[in-house]
Amino acid sequence: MSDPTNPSLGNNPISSTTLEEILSDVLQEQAFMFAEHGDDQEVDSPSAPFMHARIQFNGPCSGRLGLVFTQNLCSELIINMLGMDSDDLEEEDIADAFKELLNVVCGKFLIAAFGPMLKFDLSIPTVEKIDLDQWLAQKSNQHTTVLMVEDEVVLFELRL
Amino acid sequence: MSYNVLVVDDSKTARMMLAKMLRISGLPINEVFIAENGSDALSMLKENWIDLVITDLHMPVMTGVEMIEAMAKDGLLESVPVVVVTSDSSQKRMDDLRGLGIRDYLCKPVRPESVKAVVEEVLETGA
Repeated sequence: MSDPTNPSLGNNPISSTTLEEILSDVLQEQAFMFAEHGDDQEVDSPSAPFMHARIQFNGPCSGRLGLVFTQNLCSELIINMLGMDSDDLEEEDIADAFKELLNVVCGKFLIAAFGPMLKFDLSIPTVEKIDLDQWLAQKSNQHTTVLMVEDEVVLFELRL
Repeated sequence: MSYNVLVVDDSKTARMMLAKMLRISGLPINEVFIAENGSDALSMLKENWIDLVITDLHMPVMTGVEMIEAMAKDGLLESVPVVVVTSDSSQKRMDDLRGLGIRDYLCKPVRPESVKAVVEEVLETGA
């Protein structure tokens, strides 16, 4: 992974705070959901299963973003994004909406962090279901930040 | 006069959101066709009268760029206007795409008012 402090990449600080703000904006705009910073000492472990979405970017700086939502929150996401009835939801649609969310967040993050002049190649996002042990391991990862969205714990990971 | 629009995106969520925005836009949209990648889109373009293509870039099988290049080489499709919708909206990327002849672009997350403004402008100036 490349050096995020490289001054040639622009003046904007590249940090999880930038990503946190963008995730919050996109959730609010696309799904009418509100995010706030979470204190991971105060939150209980949510109920499995969880969905873990990842996307990679390559360009002047390379790295990857990850998002972990509970499946319940992912369902709420697509219901809000598309105005769907919960009875019509299929697991494939839930995963698709989650991947699309990460895709949008990644694009906005790269512009915010590196400016509009640099071109990056984004991978097609992937998503997998994880269990509580995997969620706990992800939560304790040094690259992971905890957010609260609609009273549910959300993890996001930024590696540069 | 009403128009047929083809939406190309590998994400069902993105396709459904765009199709919904087009249907509620108040614009004279006759039908919204859907394709999951550039290859499917080219087939649909050859089988249907399409006035405007709105496409994502990063898709499996055939990307948006490959589809735009194929359209440019096809005498029947070269004049169909293309609008790109992407989360990857760096100035360099957009300059490259304008070089390929795209009419405009929309940055994700797309807003209904942006979709309406761009589609209206492209259709009014000669779809």
